[in-house]
Formats: sequence, structure tokens, C-alpha cells
Amino acid sequence: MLFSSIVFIFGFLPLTLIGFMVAAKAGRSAAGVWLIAASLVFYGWWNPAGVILLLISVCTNYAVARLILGSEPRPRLQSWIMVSGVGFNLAALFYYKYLVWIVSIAAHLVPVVHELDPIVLPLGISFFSFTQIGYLVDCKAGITRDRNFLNYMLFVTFFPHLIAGPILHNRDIMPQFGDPRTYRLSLENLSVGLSIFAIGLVKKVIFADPLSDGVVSGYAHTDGIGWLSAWNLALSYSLQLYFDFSGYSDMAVGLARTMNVRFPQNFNSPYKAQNVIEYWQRWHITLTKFLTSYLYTPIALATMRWRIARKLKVNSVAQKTFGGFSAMIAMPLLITMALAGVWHGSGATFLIFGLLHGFYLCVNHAVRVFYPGRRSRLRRAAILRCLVTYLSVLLASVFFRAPSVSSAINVLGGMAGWHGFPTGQAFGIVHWVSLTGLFAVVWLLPNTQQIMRDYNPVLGDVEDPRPIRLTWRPNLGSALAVGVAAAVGILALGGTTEFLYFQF
Amino acid sequence: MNVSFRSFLFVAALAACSVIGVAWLGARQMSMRFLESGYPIWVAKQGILRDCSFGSVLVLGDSRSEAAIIPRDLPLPSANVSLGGTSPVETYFFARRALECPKPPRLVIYAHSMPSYVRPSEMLWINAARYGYIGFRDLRQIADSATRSHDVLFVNLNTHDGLTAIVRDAVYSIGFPSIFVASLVEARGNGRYASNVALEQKTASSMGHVIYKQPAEKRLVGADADVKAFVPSPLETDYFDKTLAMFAAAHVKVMLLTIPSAESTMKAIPPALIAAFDQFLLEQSARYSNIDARTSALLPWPDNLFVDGGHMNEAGAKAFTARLAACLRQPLDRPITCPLAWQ
Repeated sequence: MLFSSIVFIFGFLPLTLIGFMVAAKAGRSAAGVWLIAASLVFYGWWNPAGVILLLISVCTNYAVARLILGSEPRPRLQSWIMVSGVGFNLAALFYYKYLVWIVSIAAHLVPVVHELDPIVLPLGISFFSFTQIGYLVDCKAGITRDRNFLNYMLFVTFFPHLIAGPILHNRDIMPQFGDPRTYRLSLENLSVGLSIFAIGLVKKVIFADPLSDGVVSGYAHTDGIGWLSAWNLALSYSLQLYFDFSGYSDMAVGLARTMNVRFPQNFNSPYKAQNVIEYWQRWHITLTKFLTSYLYTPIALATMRWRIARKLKVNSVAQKTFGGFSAMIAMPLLITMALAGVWHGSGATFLIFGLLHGFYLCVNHAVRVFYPGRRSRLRRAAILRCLVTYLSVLLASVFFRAPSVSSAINVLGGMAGWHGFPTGQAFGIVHWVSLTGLFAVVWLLPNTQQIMRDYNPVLGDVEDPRPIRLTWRPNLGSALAVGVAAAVGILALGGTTEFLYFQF
Repeated sequence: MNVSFRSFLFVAALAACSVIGVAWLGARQMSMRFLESGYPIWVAKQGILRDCSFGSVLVLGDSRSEAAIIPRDLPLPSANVSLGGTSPVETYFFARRALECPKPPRLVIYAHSMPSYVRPSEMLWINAARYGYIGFRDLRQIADSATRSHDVLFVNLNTHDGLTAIVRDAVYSIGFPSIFVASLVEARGNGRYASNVALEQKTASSMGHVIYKQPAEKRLVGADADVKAFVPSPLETDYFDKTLAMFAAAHVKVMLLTIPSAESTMKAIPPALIAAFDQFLLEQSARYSNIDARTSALLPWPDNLFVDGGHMNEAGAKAFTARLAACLRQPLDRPITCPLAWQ
């Protein structure tokens, strides 16, 4: 079920909220069970069989977690159990997401290997697998103490994050599910949550979705694409992706808040980033944190241990040498980002996307390590840095969206002018004005967390909004704005592009 | 000034309901101002059926017959209520309405093209349901029929709105305003009123004939060539059969016709596929004595008489209707023999 659908908004959400409030009166367990049941309905809406897989995953991981916690006095055994549990999740992820892709590559190389039939990818498997891997690792590290099955089930299956994140950390969320205050009706949280949801809905259906048709048809026909069309395609997709993800993240944060749960920040105006390191601290923040904690840091630490064992230095002076930088920064980064790329999807395009970002990050770190303290404080320089970062991200996003590497190269070639420049006006003035308007929203307006800043919309601190300040308060103006925004979002649920038989 | 959260929620809900309510009312009352050009054509043809003013000959079918048959050039009082994007499913409901008239037509020309029998389309909702012609009960009946006949294509139809079957039926039959927003945006609110009113009048005065204009890019190979194998949809076959049975029960003669395709299209269709289609029509019609299927074979006509691979232009329509008129000059109670092949 999609958040931006009539069934969800008029059916699932009101029923879930009413049921939650009624069940909360009967006690914490009843409300928790209700939320789990609602989440399973949400998950199984399109494919009920998927619920079985989700339940197998949750129950297996919980059992493994109990074993890890129970084998605390035997660290070696505990490590083995943890590794097996992580392996179980990775095996499931590999089977559903990558097996067909890898076998198809093998089939091209080795004639005796035959391609497999497509395997239906269970919704959100990347998210709930990562969430649970994090939980198992934290059990081993002694960070996780909550052993309540209901809290664990809620933590994994809670529908606002189940199919597209954010990737939750048990330390942030499980205490909230253990808190009795979570299971009480709060009109403040309901107002804040629905307001955030309405903003997200507008971003998704008014800003992102109308760009979809042009992007889909553009990427379907990239042969010989002209300069203007290629730039239009790349820019449109970057905006579609931005508002889609931003809108989805807002809706997830808002929905959780209506049920008194605060999610971590997942999206913080990434196109305002002034370098690629900052970009990843603003874009899909929970994924970045997960990769940093569970992939980058262990690789970097292993590298350092390896160097120490060989009596090589690991301090900041060593990082300034080519070998030190390559081993301690570049290599862990490239491995992490390559895996981050293929986490998004199977295929060479995702791998290139990840490696490209890995390369950007290496360059960014190299500048910081080798040329420290040379950052200009001028506003012009900040704008230039922001623009360079955006363009770098834009190039990588072509690989992220293109159906094949050759298609991505076509688009990049078009952007470079290899296929010629247009002679007439393309796409019309309304289209360009719309794109400009969307960029103004991206770069000039505060983001949702900043608008809702006074009511702690997310876990953690929220940046001071610049250059324009807009603040939500529970007053009539905000109520009208939220009501109208919600209505406009609902009205646009059917799409804003006509689907016609003939247009003679 | 801050208000209580209860008041905040109340005002926000009231604002949302007001905006949706106004949009709903506007969509219901002012459809002619913003809906696409298909709408006035439907309104005109629904008017013909509602007023039972179709005369002796009623033409039912899809866009091909809508473009190809000019009722005013036929020797008997006639109306063409064929509609673009429709299939035998929608046609069943038009036929049912026509038979509710005090004086049913003497002859029905039933002319759907090959793709109409093969694949169900979401135009059922976008046109028939959205224009208010088919209601919730009928939509549910269609869905039940599809389930009973194991029409996998219809049951699993992947529509662009992403709605599930029953919700889609409900949303379209109550005319929830979200299904009109795209047209409202395209029309910039009111921008189609004059052209829609003119088109409605033109369609009504031509008794349902619509002139198809040359698109910017002429595609000489029509939709027939996209059909890879002629496997009739169980749902379409069911409604086709229901329609024929209904006319048989009412003793209305039916001329089963297939509008010719452009030569380029015909060259792109395997002969076996054409033969399978012809055979399907003959087998379906053989069950009823009132059906005349002598004109059901798919024939090629010159490309220059088409705006694309399947829809005739004005010259094509005139030439085709002239041939048809010659057949209708014969007594209707005799077998209809028509030299429809292009010579």
C-alpha cells in the first residue's frame, strides 16, 4: 500500500488511528498488537504471501537475537551466532535481489549457465533486513537490552518505515515502544504528524509525480538525445527523486508522529550541501549512518589493525601519505559506496553510481586531508560549492535512473553536446518555469523539519532555516494551510497527466 | 494566536473537506468546461440513446466505426453511437439502453476491431465510468464476470491510477474529484468549454459521426498489428455474446462488420491471425439466426484513405459509407451482401 493512495488515506490510516486509540485504552499490549496487525495488513496489501516471508524473517532474527544475548558468557559462540544471523539476512537479500542478476551475468560469460526466471522481490526487504542486521550486531555489542518480543515486532514491522525506511536503530525506537506514553492519544502529536504528512503528500503528488511521465519516456528513448533534452531529463529526474524521497520521508515521519513515535531525520535538504561528504549527511541520513556504523567503520578499523600489525603508522600524518590515505580512507570508502550502490538495486548502473559517489567522497576527503583550512567563507564561494556538489550528484543520478549503462552514457553524451544542440524552443516556457520553481523550493525554502522545528519533528537537532524562515504553529493560519495542502494533495492523487485514448 | 490542538484539527479538517467538496461539485457540474474532447462526443451520443432518436439503423462499435460510418449518408435514418476506446463490454450497455427505447432499431451494425476483442482496457473507467455512463453495480457485474470467466488480463489489469479493483470502481462511480484533476490542469480550469460545446453540437448534428484528423505523425501501421496472437478475452467474448443474445431476443437484425484497415497495417498482420479473427466472428454469430456475418471479414483499403493505420479520414469514410449505403438499399429482411472489398 502506498501512503499517497486513496485506500491508505481514506481507509487504512483512519481505521488504524481509531483502532490504535481504542486499543490503547485497553492497554499497551493491545495497542501494540493492533499496530502490528495493521502493519501486516499494510505490508500484505498487494501480495499477502509476502507477510509470511516477513514473519519468518522477524521470528528468525528475534530467535537469533535471544541466542546472542543468552550466550554472552561465551564470546566466540556469540560471535558465531551473530555472524550466522547476519548471514541469514544477507542470504535472503542475495537470493531475492541479486541472484537473477548474477546468474544472468554468468550466463553471458559461461554458455552452460542458463538465465533464471525473475524472482518477485519482497517489498522493503532491503530495509527490514538492514534494520535487523543492525539489531543483531548491537545485541552482540551489548547495546541492545530490550528483549520484549512485542517491542521487537513493532520496531521491525511498524508500517511508517516498513517498506521504504528510514532505517531505524533499535536504540532510538525500541525505548519509545516500551514507553507507556506512546500508547495515549495526543492531539499535539496528531496535529504535528498530520501536518508533516500533508506537506509530504504535496511534495510527492504535486511536485514529484508530474515529472514522472517525462522522465519515464525520456529514459526509454535515449539514443541520440539532444543537449537540451538530456539536461531536461537529468534535471527533471533529480527533482523527481528529491521530492519523491523528501515527500516519502516526511509522510513516514508524520505518520509515526500521529502514533506518538518520533523517527530520526532522514532527509535534510541534500541539494543545499556544499560538498559530497555533507551531501551524504543530508541524503538518506539513516542509510549513511547504518553504512558508517556497520560497514565503513569496521573496514577502516580492520585496515588500521592490519597496518598496526605491520608496524605502519595510523595517525593523521600517515593519512597524508598516498599509501596511508588509500588504505585508511579511500579503500573503505570505495568498498562501502560500491555496496551502497548495489543496495539500491541490482545492475551495473547501481554499481557505477556507488563507485562514482565513492570517488567523489575520496576527492572530497583528499582535499580535506591534503589542503586543510582553505575553505572560503564568502557567500559566492558557498553558492559555487553547492552548485559543484549538485552537478556531481546530478551526473551520478543519471546512472542511478538509466535502465542500462549505454543509456546513461547516451544521456551524459547528450548533456555534453555530443548529439547536437537544439535549434528551436523545446518543452515550452511553462515547463522551464515549473522546473525553476521547483529549484527555488529546493534551494530557498526551509525544509519540513525546519518548518516544524518548534515541535521537535524528528529525533536530534534541526538546522536553523536559511534564507527564508517559515514556522508552523497551532494557529488558524497553519490549520487552513495544512487543510488546503492536504486537500490539494488528495485531489492530485489521480495524477496530473491526462491518460487519454485519442486526442484528435 | 495559537489555538488548542482540538481546534487546529477541526479547522484543518474543515478546510480540507471544503476544498474537496467544492472541487467535487465543480467536477460534477462543469465537466464540459474542462474535460477532454472525448466527453462532448459521449454526451452527444448518450443524448441520441436517451432520446431514442437513432432511427432505423444503429451503429455500435469503437473508434474505427465512429470514423468510418457517416449516418447521414445512409439511405435509412441512422445514428452512429460507436465510441473511441470502447470494447464489447461498453457496447453491451449502449445496446441495452437502445433496446429500452419504445421503438428499437431495425438493424444494428456491430463493428468492433480486432484489438477490442483481445485486451481489456482501463478506458472502461476513464471514459464510461468517469463520464457517468456505467455505474458501480455495472462495474461490479463486469468484475464478477471477469472473475467467473477467468479473464486474467482483466483481473490483473495494471491501471495507471494504481487502485485496486473495487476501490477503482467506487472512486470512478462516485466521481471522486481526484479523477478529474488531470483534465482540470490540462484545461487550465475552463479552457475547453467553447470547443467542447461546438464538438457536442457537431457530433449530435452528424448523428454521431466524428471526423478523425491527421495526427502530427502519421503511423501507417495500426493497432491490429500490435496483436501478436488472436486470443479473445473471455470477458469481451462474454459481453459480445450477451449483446448478440440480447438483440436476438428482441428480434433485431445485426450486421456484423469489420471496418477495413490500411494496407500497410494488413501487410504487418500474419494471415493466420486474420483468419483466426474471421473464424472467431463467424463462430460467435453462427449461434444466432438474426446475425448476418457476411461482412465480418477484415479487408485492406488504400493507405491514403486513413489518418493512421486503422482510422479512416473523411474521404475514406465517404467512400466506405457509400458502399455500405448500397447494401442497405436492399430489403433488410434479406441476407446482406456487400461488395466492401476495395477494387
